[in-house]
Amino acid sequence: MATTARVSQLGRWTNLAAAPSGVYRLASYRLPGFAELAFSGFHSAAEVANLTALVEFRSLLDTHRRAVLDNATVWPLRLLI
Amino acid sequence: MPRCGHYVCSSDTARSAGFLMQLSPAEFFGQQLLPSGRTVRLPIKNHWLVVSPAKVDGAGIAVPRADNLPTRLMRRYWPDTAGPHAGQSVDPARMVRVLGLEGNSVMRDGVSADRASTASRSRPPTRKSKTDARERD
Repeated sequence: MATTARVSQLGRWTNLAAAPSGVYRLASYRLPGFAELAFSGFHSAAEVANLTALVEFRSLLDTHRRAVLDNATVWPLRLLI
Repeated sequence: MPRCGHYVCSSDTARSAGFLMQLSPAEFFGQQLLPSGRTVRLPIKNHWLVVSPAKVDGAGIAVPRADNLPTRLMRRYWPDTAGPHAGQSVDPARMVRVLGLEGNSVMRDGVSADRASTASRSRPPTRKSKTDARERD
């Protein structure tokens, strides 16, 4: 399954809160099975490595276990490139 | 190159600039009072679910008290998630009654050092993997 999404395809976004929170709500971009999506940016190479491993872990799960994970957590879904 | 607040989201290279996630449901957000006196709507950190109403009111945090999801979780699972730094725990076992056994298992695999290996183990064995296992034996 896809592990990346392009920043250029995200469309409009707004800050999740009035104060900068580092998390941005996407106005129209959607993935199947999710009502609304958000994204956050990386600060460091360590974060990139960690989040890459988490996204790859989810992509390797079978459909059932991925659904269990998605229902229980806000797990990273795609890396933005 | 689009700017995202204080981040720069690079779209001109293959370098990863950030990550997508699902947006938490609305019931996990609440009004919070900033030191400036301004009110903002932010995700409620789970440690606010387990502090006294008086302390919550003092901080200006609008923590749900009706019989909604976060409150139900707190009431039902408090014994298993309580304790120092429960809200920051990295041990999925502390959330076993919230996530269920299967959710707990997936979480534990996901935060383990060997994520790819544990994810692969959840797949049915292939003919090649069975052959490899027999040869190893």
